[in-house]
Amino acid sequence: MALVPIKMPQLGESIAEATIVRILFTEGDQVQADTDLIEVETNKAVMAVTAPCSGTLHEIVAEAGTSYPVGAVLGQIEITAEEAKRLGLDEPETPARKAPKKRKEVSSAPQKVEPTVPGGLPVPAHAGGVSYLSPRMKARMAELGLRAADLSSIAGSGAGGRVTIEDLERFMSGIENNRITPASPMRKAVADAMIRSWSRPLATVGIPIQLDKLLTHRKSHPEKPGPALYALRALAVALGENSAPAGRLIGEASCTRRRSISDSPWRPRTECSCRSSEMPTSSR
Amino acid sequence: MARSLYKTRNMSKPSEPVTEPDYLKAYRIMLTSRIVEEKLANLYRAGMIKGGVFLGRGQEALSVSVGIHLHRGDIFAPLIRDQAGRLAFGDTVLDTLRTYLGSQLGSMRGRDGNIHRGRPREGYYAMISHLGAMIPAVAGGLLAKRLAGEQGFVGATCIGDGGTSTGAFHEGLNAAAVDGLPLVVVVANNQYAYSTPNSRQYACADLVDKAAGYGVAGHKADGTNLLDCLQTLRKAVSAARVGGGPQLVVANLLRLVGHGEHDDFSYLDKKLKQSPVGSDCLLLAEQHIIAQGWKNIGELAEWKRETEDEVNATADRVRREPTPDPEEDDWEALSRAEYREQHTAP
Amino acid sequence: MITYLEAIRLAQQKALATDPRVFLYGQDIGTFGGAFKATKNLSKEFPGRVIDAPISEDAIVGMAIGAAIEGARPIVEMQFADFSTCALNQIVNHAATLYYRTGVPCPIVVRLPSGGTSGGGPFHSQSMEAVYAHWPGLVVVTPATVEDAYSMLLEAVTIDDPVVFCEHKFLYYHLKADSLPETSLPIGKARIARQGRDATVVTHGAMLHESLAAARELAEDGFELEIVDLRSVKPLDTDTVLASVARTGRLLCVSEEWPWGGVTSEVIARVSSEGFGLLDVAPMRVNAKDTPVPYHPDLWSVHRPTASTIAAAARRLLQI
Repeated sequence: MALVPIKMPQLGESIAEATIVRILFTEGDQVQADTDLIEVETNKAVMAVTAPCSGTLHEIVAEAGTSYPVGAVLGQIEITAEEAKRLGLDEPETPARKAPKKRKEVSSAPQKVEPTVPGGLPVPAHAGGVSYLSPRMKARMAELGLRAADLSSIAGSGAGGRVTIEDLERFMSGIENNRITPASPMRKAVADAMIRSWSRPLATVGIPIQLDKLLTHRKSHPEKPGPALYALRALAVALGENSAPAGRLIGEASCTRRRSISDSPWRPRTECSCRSSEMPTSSR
Repeated sequence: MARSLYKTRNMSKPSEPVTEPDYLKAYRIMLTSRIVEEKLANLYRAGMIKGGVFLGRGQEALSVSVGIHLHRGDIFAPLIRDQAGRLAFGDTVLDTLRTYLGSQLGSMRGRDGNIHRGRPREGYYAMISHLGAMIPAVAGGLLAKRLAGEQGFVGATCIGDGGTSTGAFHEGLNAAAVDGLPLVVVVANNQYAYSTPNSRQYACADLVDKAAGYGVAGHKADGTNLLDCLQTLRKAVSAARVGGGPQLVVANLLRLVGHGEHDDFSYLDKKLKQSPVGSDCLLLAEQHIIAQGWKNIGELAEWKRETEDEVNATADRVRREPTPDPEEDDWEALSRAEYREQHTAP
Repeated sequence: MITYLEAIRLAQQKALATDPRVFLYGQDIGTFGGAFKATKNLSKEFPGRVIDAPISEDAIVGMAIGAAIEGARPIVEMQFADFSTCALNQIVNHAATLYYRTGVPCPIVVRLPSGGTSGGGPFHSQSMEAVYAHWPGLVVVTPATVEDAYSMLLEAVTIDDPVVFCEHKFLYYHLKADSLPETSLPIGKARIARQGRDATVVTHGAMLHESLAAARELAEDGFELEIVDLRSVKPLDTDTVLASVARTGRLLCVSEEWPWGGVTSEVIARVSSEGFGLLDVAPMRVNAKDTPVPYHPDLWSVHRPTASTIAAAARRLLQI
């Protein structure tokens, strides 16, 4: 038993869809090839969709009053084995002839005509929340040389905890009650370095390792590469095996490299005879 | 305001007859108009004129008859096929070419072009494209003159058969009639409004019948006949000048060119062209002059050559003039600086 | 007590008395004194200079233009702003372009009884200021007080360029003042009608008074609204608006017009472009509903902004 789909035909040069007016048969009826099965209406005329072959009307999924695009499956006709053979539908399955297997997907609601603009762009536009900085805030912060981190000690009275310009101005005038002296260049440099240091890991783990092999290898080399170079190479190889520690937190997403560091060819910056083949493989 | 002061329609005082000098003067202006317009057509086809070119070939007799009866202190609002009337009222070949060729020295300074030119302070109103709009404008100018105590002035404006269909024509003529203003509205019925023939423009038998509808005097003229045009306009303008209220003049003629130089007039009914209304008023005037013995063919040819030389020389001169400089234009639409916007997009 | 309407009548009287070039033209303005009595007794006092016109808005404005070219200073009255669209062509294509095209200014004043009153319906209630402001070459004013109705009309007559004078019908008899001003702010300058520090409300016309009422309501809760009366919509006093937003950081535009392309749009466009860094919150606006003005008073009272809808919007603005 095979099923042949009834598809919405191309009913005119510029026609893209048609609306079902009337369904002329019911499921279970015997239909002949080329009989009018479904009446549809386009922008230009009322026309009929005809049966592609003879058989039993297995199911109609189209609904009167709904529009379907050209090519949509409106129903199925069940045909006999002989008919299938006659139409060449009983040949071994090729990707193009998977119609019977796809029955489940096909008989679920056929694609309806969707409006072309799905209700706007999915860009969030909230103007509140702790992290929102209004144009005026940004302008004022630029004026004062403040960064977003500097606002963390200010309680926001705006929507969602937003720090409003009033909150900021109150905070700034509050600061004036403290002793204010200009920061020395060194103080600024130290502060800068400290802020930058926040992007580096702050935890320290100590694991003792035996350097004997390393030192032996080093001795045998005319260039005498420093231990740091060995450590660096070991780190690169380790990250190549597991790159997660080389990830970053950006906003609320963690980003890790796709490519393994060890995919890159080892390129020493100075002429060096430390070729990977001569280096000890990673241990521990 | 007593209506009777301003509504004496049947003026019995006859106007003075058209003399040979009158006729020749009018003819000379028609000839100049024809030659200037041919020059414009050539310049257009050579790609030297930007925008539209609208010619008045076939309408010179009527148009010159309007302009020639107006003088300083009068108001004239010509329309698109009134090159002859404009020259008669004091416009020059120079400014005509300057405006069309976009010279910075033209009266409109490039801010408007071709037949929109004018010098309103001199009574030469600058038309806007919306047909009929000049009728109330001229009427208003006449009202202001009356309120200021002036006397003996007249205002005239020209319009086509198509323009009589607009609301502005109706409102303007009616309002002028209610106040009995000395307004002469001259309808050049050239049988076509762009491609629209009269049968699709109005249903009344004759446009001059509208005069009775508005309560104003009506005059008919043969637009192809210079003498008839001169006589009719003389009568109409005089009647308005002495308090006869608005005068509606309707002249039949045929537009002898396309709507604009971009139009080939392929829709012209050939029968019209071959009928009397399709005659060329300039040729007929030449024939009349020769028949009257006022000038001979050679003298007319000499006039033609002189005028062509003058027009060509002027065109050459104008083409050497600078075009408007966007950097130098002040880009202001208000005359008073203190009311101009300070904050708009650059 | 002088009503807003009487102030307009007195201004026209003064103009006629002091400048012989002035005359009035419009429907029913002669013996009848005008549909709203804005010209009552003037035709008697100035015979021949207060002239009745036929129902021809195009011709009324067209005649004013011609008269202005010849040196007169006409003030024409459209019976309702809503009918001025019949004269739109003469206003925007003739009067507004005359100076630009010919160098000859066009000193006409076109009075537009504007804005809604209860029961007025779709064609007796419109606000046209944004429509006319769109075209270059016009001055568009919207007096919201008795004093401004008087002084701005007098100033309009002296301006050499065409002025569209949008007087508000609702204010005709509702607003009264003790006396008329000797001096006033010039056209082009907005007025701070109420000082405040929490948010700026920019408005004009009858909505000034609704906004003031809204401000009083909010003051009870400790919020102080600053209210800017634009007075003239074109030229629009952007500097005053920006200075106010610089103080408050929050902007609410209120107008009786429809939202699309109204005065509120223009103010927000300017503040967003030129004062982006002044805004602590996205600007907000309150306009009439985007439908023709309804006739039934119950519908009409909800169609236009009121003190309570303005106050509610202001509260939302202040809470962000």
